[in-house]
Amino acid sequence: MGGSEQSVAGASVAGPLAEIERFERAGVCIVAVAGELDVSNIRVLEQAAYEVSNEALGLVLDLSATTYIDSATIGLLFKLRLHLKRRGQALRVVCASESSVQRVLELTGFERELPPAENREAAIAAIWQDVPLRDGVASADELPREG
Amino acid sequence: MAATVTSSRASAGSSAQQLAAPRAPAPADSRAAAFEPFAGAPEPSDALPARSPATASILLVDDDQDSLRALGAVLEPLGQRLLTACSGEEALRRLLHEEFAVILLDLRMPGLDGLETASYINARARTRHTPIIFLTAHAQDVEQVFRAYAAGAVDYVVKPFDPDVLRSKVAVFVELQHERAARVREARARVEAEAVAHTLQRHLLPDRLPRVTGLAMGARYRPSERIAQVGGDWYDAIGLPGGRVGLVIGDVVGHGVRAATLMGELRAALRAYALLEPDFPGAVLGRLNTLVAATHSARMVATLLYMVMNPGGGGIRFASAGHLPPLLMEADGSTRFLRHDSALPLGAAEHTVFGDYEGELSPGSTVLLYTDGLVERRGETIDVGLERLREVLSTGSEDLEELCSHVIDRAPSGVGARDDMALLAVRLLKEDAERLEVVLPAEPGSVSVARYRVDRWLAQTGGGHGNAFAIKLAVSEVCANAVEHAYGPESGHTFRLLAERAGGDVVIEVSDSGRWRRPRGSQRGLGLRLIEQLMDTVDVERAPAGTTVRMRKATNGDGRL
Repeated sequence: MGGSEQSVAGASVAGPLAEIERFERAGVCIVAVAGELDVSNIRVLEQAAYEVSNEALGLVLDLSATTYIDSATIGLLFKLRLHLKRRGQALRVVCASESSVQRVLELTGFERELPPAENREAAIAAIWQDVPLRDGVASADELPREG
Repeated sequence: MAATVTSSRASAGSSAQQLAAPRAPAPADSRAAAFEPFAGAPEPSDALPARSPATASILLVDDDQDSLRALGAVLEPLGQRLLTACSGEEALRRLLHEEFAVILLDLRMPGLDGLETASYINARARTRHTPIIFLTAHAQDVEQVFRAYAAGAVDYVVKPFDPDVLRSKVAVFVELQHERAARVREARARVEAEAVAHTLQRHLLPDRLPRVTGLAMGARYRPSERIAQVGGDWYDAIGLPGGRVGLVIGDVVGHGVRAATLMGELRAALRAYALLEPDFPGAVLGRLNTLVAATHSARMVATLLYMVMNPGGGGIRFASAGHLPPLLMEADGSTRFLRHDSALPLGAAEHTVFGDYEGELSPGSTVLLYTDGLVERRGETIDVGLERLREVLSTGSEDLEELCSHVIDRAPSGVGARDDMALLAVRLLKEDAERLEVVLPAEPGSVSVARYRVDRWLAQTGGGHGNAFAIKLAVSEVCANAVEHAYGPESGHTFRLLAERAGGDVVIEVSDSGRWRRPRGSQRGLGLRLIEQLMDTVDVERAPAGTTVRMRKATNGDGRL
């Protein structure tokens, strides 16, 4: 069967699965993931996502360059959402429509909970929209709400 | 960055106000000339004043209230709907809800400045084409304006502005908006006409290819690039007794509904004759020719190639009615045409004898059946086109699905290309390729290895037909479970992954010598829930010696997860 030989060959395939980048834009913390996420590297993302500064309006998790996610990622998303909500910050996920990431979000029901944005700018705009206005109650009421 | 945020938050607080909602001086026929909102625009909410059908919206963005009032006064005579925002954030929020004919945007604002606001407007698909006119109070800002053009600005105005100039600049875009709405209506009508024509043909192509043990199949059809033109190309695959399959590629000469109708008749008749004459393709074509000659005028002709393939021994037998020769690719990538003396097309003569040609495929080889759209280009001999197709096929992917896309993507297109094209690719699978078996160390890094191995195996054995992703994800989840829960922290353990094809199904088995643990908490159950949604069946067998998870997925489904 040659199983052990195959697994040695396979180990070299693994390498670093994803590159994770974190920065701020327009007052929002952006964490962008390029590559694949699974049980082997989900901790790295968890660490990056939990270090959102208190000043940030929220967190945009940009998965548009992510080619693969599994249930470990979805588990983290649910946890993150709750964590940020407690801190008064918003979470938005970015992924390409019809992508494998979008399908997993759909299958696990996360998409229903928090519809993903199609790009980073839309996610930032959505976070702004959620920011409560201090003395602008009248203007917020005047705005038509979608849905 | 934090400082910017604080100030922008504060400025976002100031309230927006609607300066005026002047109605356009209503023309007598304003009801008849119903204005349709531009595609994708949200339905106007009840909270908004009712819009006159020919009224466009203009957004004025400035942090200075005096400036907003001045702009309002200047633009009011245009009779359009004016809305204001006193920060970039507020402008963006308004754009989430409404389509604007033009945006007047102050360059210098606290928080998000005009440039940054413009870049977000420009980045969003729905607002990308909304024209922006920048307002600037300072001459030195003009340099900024050049950057603004890069961010999608169409014009700029230096404050204090000339009312007449500003009004005429804005009026241009209001007019454009009205024209654009009319163009969208026309484009929609055109798209609909095209859709009706193609629907007819699409219904005549098989929804899915049959499952045949030992074979992998892929097909593509590309409709005409010309609007509302139906072609007569089609492919079909028919399950025959004895595990064999009948493969069809055909091309009715001509276009339009008549061609599509003949194609439908031929397809239905061939399916019946194929079952009557499962051993003799030539006899099937003979019957078809009699049918066409008897029921259609001589001008309705069709070329057709019909091949019976037996995956058991790799035997093929085919007959051709004026059709192009099948192209064969061996497992080593070498290619050649299956040359034969072709008989006349169907319908060309009352009596035609169609001879049978025989051959034997070696495991791993692929047969490509195609229509002339794939090789013909105006001003070029057919041999040049055939040679190009041969080269394209030999440079394609190992994955049959990708190979099909590769071939159709490189077909002649544009001016000089033929109208529509179809292809059918069939691969005789190698026996050993039906099964994958791997033993991996029980560590997190093995999960991606298992995923890659299954992905490659699926590709080599004919692709997952849209289900490759589901299978890959399910494998990954089960392996993650084996790694995470089966053994605990001790190292040196392994798990075994087995994948095989049974009929049209993919069967996956993952076994370990540890204990399957019940998922803990709601999130722990996510993986198991995913697997159950992804696969057709999932069985977990727990025994003292270890746990085995068996899953099955049909690969000839519609590919939706």
